[in-house]
Amino acid sequence: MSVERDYDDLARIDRTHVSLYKDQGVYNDEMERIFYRSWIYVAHESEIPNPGDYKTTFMGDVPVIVTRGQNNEINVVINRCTHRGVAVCPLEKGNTPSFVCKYHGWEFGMDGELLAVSMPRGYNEGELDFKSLGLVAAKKVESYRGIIFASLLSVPDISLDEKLRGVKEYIDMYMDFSPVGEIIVGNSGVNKHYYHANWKIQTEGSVEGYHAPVTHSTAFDIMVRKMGMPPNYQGYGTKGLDGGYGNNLLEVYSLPDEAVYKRWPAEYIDLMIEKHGKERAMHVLRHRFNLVIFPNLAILEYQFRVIRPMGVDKTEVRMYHTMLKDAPDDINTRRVREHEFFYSPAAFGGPDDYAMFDRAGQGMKADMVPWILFNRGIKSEEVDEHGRRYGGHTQETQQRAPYFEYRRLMKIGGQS
Amino acid sequence: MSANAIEQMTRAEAEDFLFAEACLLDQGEVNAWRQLFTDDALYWLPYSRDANVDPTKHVSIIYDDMEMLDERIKRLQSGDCHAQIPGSRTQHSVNNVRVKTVDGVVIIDSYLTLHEYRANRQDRFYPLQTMAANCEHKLVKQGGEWKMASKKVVLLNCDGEIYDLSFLI
Repeated sequence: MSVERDYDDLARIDRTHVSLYKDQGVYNDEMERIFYRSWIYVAHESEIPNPGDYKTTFMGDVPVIVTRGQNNEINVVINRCTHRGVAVCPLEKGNTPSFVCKYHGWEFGMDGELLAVSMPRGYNEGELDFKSLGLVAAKKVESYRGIIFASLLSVPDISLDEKLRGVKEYIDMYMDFSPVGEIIVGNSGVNKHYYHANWKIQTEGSVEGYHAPVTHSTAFDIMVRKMGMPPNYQGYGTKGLDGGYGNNLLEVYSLPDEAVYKRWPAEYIDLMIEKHGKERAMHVLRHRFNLVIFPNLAILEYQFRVIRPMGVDKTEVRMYHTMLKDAPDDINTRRVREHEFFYSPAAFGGPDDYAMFDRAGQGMKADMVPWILFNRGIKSEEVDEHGRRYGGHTQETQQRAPYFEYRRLMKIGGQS
Repeated sequence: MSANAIEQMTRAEAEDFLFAEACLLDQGEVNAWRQLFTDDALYWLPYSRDANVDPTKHVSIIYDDMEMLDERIKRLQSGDCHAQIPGSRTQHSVNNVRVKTVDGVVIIDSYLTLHEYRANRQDRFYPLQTMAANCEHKLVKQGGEWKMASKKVVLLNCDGEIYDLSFLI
């Protein structure tokens, strides 16, 4: 029996109800209304560069295969044989001309089309309809700057262009750290974390300015002493931004030009200026930010972070390290070293975050203390020239932002 | 007697070295363990089982020079490494030890079985963790003592889902 919940009341402007992090019924609604019917990140095109390449991933609880067909088209199909329910692809990634279910030999093309079955003479005429028995394909698949999003069961009520409108400038900036505007995702390593609490804690936590000097005092100490980070974290004047449709951003820093020259070698800056022009190159190099594309992707520093709900109280987080195409080797090596400094399971930052997320899973067992608070800075929030709400980076505009889209999707189910 | 006999190590001597190193780690004698490294040593946990992985092009779990290892130890001892509150107990069991000498450097290959446990946790029932790894120690003699020029630990599940490795291995 389904219970209709009042999501406007459970996800308020300045607080969320603890049941959103614990209740199986809420989780089921999230799967149905967000993860199966709105834009979900599935892969970056650089992960499947050649025809026949595929990777398997999950959209909510559903196993899917992201493929590149012989014509270079990208497909997203459900990894479930239409005959008897068996996953047709048992690997995480690879290259193949087709997918053959090894239970009864049904063969599917890269776009999911049913090509052949074993021992077809056992079917009488009218018992096997090839046309309707392909792997179920996502209703919509689109990319922006190589980032592939899909919607599984219905066409979202907003275009991908509209979904990303408020944060495209930051996606573009992230790509343009490469002199040729292209990145390579995951080839240089993937951190595979999990924690014992709800997925939304990582969505909120990927753009957390407030916790940084508390949880990460040991890492920040080193970043200030040895990595050229500014010491005055509170007073630095960077923003937390609501980019619309749940997307949001934490500005980590916005450097003056002399700091850019201190942070990056002249060879790299010159190459960037040569390829992008001086104004664009310096604009890109001044910035560092954490960007959440609601619900399951965060693009930050040197990683694509993919958030996968695994039930109401367990979450997998994968950090796909990113490299800059055609950047000098020493720049990419620095991206490797600085990433592993903060984010590996033995690093100076990430393990402390996951300790906090596990502790959140513990504290939120207390149903009778119902509210999770996001009201920090709500009275001083301002609106920028693009109509985006923003506050200070240690305030909670970024944590409030996802719930505008959450309320919208949980009410309409994301259907047009 | 060969002139470079001093750079040889028997398996028994190699085992004694590894057992002593394990003992320092398991008893929390971190500063003494640090003194086993040379000043230009490398402490490396790769993310890949590929012996040819290039650490300049691929993220590692740990890739510490001694400056970074000193920072790591300082963090662990600061009381502000929250992933280590409460701290881990470890037991390093060393076996399948093999020794060779290449260009005056003694290389010890060994298997490591590591057990890890955390008592006094609020959430209770912390599962005893078991990890398996291949280790490679490169040793040189300095001032009459064997020192680690590098320690490389390749976990059997280095490229898999790992809960937390905020302790020393």
